[in-house]
Amino acid sequence: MLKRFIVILTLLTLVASACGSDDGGGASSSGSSSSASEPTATAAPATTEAVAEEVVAPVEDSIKVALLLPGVKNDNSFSQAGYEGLIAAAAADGNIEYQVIEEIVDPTDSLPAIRDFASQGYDLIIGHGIEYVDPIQQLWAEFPDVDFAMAGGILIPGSVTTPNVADWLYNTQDMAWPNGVLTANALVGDTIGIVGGPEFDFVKGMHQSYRDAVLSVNPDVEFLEGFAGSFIDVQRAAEVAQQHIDQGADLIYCSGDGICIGAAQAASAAGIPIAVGFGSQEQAAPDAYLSATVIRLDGLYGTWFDQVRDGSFGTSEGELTFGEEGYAFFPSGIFNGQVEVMPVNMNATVETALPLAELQAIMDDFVASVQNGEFMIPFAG
Amino acid sequence: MSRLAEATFWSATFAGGLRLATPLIFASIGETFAQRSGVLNIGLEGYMIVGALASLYVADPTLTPIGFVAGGLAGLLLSALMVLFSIRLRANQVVVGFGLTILGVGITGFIFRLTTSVGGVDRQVPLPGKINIPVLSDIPWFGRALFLHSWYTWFAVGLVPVAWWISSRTIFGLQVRSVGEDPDAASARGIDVIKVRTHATLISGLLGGFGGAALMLGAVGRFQPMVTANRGFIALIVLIMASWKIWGAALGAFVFGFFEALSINLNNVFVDMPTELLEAIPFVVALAILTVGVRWSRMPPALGTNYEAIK
Amino acid sequence: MNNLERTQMPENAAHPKTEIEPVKGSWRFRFRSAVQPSSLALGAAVLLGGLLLLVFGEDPVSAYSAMIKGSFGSRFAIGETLARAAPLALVGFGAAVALRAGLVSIGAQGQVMTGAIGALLTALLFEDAPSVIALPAAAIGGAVFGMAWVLLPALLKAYFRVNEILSTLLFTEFAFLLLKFLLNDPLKPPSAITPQSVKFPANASLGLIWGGTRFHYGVLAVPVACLIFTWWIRSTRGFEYDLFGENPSLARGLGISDKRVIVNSLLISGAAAGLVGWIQTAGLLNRVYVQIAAELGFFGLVVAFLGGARPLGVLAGAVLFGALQSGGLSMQSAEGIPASLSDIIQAMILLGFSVRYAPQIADVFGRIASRARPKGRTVS
Repeated sequence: MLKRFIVILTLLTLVASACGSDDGGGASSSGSSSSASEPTATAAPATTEAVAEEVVAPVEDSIKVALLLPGVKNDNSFSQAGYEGLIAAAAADGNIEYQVIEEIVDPTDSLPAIRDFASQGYDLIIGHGIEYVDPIQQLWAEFPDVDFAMAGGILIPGSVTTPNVADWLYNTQDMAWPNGVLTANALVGDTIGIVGGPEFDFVKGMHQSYRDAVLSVNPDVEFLEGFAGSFIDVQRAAEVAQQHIDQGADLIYCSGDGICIGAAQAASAAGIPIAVGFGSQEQAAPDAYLSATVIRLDGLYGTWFDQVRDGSFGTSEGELTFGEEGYAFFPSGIFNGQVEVMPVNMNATVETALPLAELQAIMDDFVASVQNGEFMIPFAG
Repeated sequence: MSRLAEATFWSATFAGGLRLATPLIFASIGETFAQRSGVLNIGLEGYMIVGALASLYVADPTLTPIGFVAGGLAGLLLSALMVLFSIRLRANQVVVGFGLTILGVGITGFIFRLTTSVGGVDRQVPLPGKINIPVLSDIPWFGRALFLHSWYTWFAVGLVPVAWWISSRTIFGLQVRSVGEDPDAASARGIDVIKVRTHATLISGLLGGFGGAALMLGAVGRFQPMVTANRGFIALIVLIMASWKIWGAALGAFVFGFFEALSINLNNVFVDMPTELLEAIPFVVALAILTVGVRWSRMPPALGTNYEAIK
Repeated sequence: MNNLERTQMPENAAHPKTEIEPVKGSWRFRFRSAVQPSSLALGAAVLLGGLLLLVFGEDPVSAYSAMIKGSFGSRFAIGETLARAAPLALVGFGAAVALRAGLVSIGAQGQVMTGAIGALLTALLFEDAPSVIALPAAAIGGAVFGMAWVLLPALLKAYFRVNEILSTLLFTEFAFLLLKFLLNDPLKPPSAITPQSVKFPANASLGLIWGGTRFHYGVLAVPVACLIFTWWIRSTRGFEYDLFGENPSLARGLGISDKRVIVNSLLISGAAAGLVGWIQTAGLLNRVYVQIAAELGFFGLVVAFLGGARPLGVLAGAVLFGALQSGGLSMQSAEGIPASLSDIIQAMILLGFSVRYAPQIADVFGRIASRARPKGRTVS
């Protein structure tokens, strides 16, 4: 029974490959660069693994990379940061074949997807999000020839770093502190409204870092804080910002993801400035948007590509070490350019306490002081 | 705690309640028509999200009112599938409604993806200005909360009496209620059950699309996948509180919006309370209204059943 | 067909049947009413989906072959399909019991969530106990929590006639908020930065049947549930419930307590959904996540509908949707086809199948079939 099934399936895939080569001109819109030797076209189902080994890269040193994103690649935020990092790193490298899979959050789906990539002969699989830690933990031993990169795994007890697993840590305080410094200097008035996505620990950590930064500049500021409850409920996030404005907020800080769109629009309508923790909202509110922090992963991805080639992948790259006085060393951050502080939006027309150029100067000084080690951003948890 | 004594706290909450309720008012009024006629429209979420996308994609190059209409038409189009599958072909209403929700979310996500490039300029509309009703909005305490809103909210509020009039004072409204009550008897009186249900379902599609458009053009301004965030299902929950009456649906939507706004603001009053607990407030209120109001509420007996014309 | 139609008209008297049907239970009837239109519906949906792929510049043949490969093409894929079909089938059996009694509970979603919580809490309670005790205890914990979550809607329906569709929807929201709260704080490992629970204790975990796949022992709950469900349909009690679903006033006249039927059948459906929470946690994921229920509750109900609330129908529906979901994922990872497109194709297949149960269409198929084979046995 099973045998017959496999025969039928083989025939089907043969037909598929025949037809596939006929009208194979269809450009894939996903940004994937599919090569002629894609295993799906030729592999009989029962022998996937065997074929996977045959898919040796056509050019020497070319590597195949898969990237998993929790959101869509054009979300102006976290997922886009991962996608842009890959594109930039691949362009710089010039010898990368990649496949991107989007909107994969459910752990039921992510494990088989990662496994699919691993058995298709990908050299490096990057799980851009904490969602992928558990599945990678379950799979790395089964695919010793595949390298895996994940985000934030070290923070989960029982997870390990092995020769084929590397880790990247999301640095919440470097994402939040610069906005705090900027907005404390820009604030006209005394109340800041904070808008967050879901009330996750790292979101709360960002808010804490932000508040600490503001208070370090101006100890008299008062805060209003609200959460949209998820990363998708844009209307609720906009409403949180509006509620803050109606109750007297003079500036909005939105730590979130794509949910900040509505908050930015609300700030713009009220004529008060907004700073964003994650990705620019300049398009949404060109008059009110001040600045944002973004993550830049191309450097890290480029390092990973080189390490995959020379076999040094998966060393202690991602270790989180706690220094004295609660300072933590993150392998990513402002110091190595993986967190970038966006320039102050010079087109902003909202009222700010200091002129925009002066704010830019303050931020330049701040970034320089972090990069040359004069200032350590405190660890907020 | 002192915040609770401030007038701005309550007026802001009230105004926020109306804003949050605006899309829900559209959707739940439409759903009231459908359910009164016996059609259980689980696909409301699908209508809303196609309405949201269509309204933005039409409003960006043209004008927001045109976008708003386009949103309604998109919802109408999707509800035409409900008519085709459930009313004409008599497939199960829950299955079709669920399928339409997946379809709506999938189609909008796909179109958004195709039309948006990474790092490019997204389609966007500026949020509407508020229409100031001159003297009334200057009333202290509640003036701003009651009389300073965008035209979407005014439209939603204005729709309520119209919908009520249609539902309870026109022949069509009577027909809708009768086919939801007893389709066989209605048919025996010469009412075309299929036709009435078709119209009621299309109304719910149109209003569901309007709801999505009001959310997009009135509150958000730019599309994201799943931007309606299950508000279609919330509109269904509103219906439980509404006892299948137009005024009830509008009031239920407002109550829900009000308590949602309250849960946002209480975060600054009870700082240490988990947000999940605050987020649960509107649902707890819904449950309370449901349990208390159940004695007076009467479900359309034919709700969820398909009707087959006897030839 | 009969069951399904019955479930669609709970209270008011059914209108007279005018269809001409072959003898029920005969294989020809089953073929004509189930297999034939199903495959046509599936075919139509696949064609439409292919057209859509073509329009947007994807190669439909390689997309579909990736889909087939991802659902049945390897040991892993088969295990994956079965592991995905199992929760759908379990929710489906539970929902089918309720459907047969004329009740549509769309709250399985929430009951899966609370079932997962219940299973985890019980397992944590029995962390030091031997597996023989801890494992069944976790299962019972899951089932009980699932039942608890449907109790209030069931009582509201039984005593106050509150529509169970809407009240269970409300309770799903509560379950989701409860889950978010528990995974954000009390049940979260201290250092995790996003919501998730601690690991499921090893002594209560379900092992793998096939190493290297995700085909775990929890899947075996499905054949057991299937047998129980088959027995249930044939039992006196099950017949009473069927009768209630078909004609409540007749059932009342025969002394069947409607309150008992409503409460019990909804509790059974809650227990089944709770068990799904248990197998997903103890077998598949080893942790509770916010997305633990995915859309299992909704799809489980759909499977129950499409399977005609019959054991084999539910099983077939569950395997179909399990295969669609694991195959749809492969379509994304192998061909780079976006998730939303595979959602659209799934939705079209779902809609196609819903029509398979549409009496009019079945009629047309019946007529075509009897014209093609005029000797076909039909009884008027």
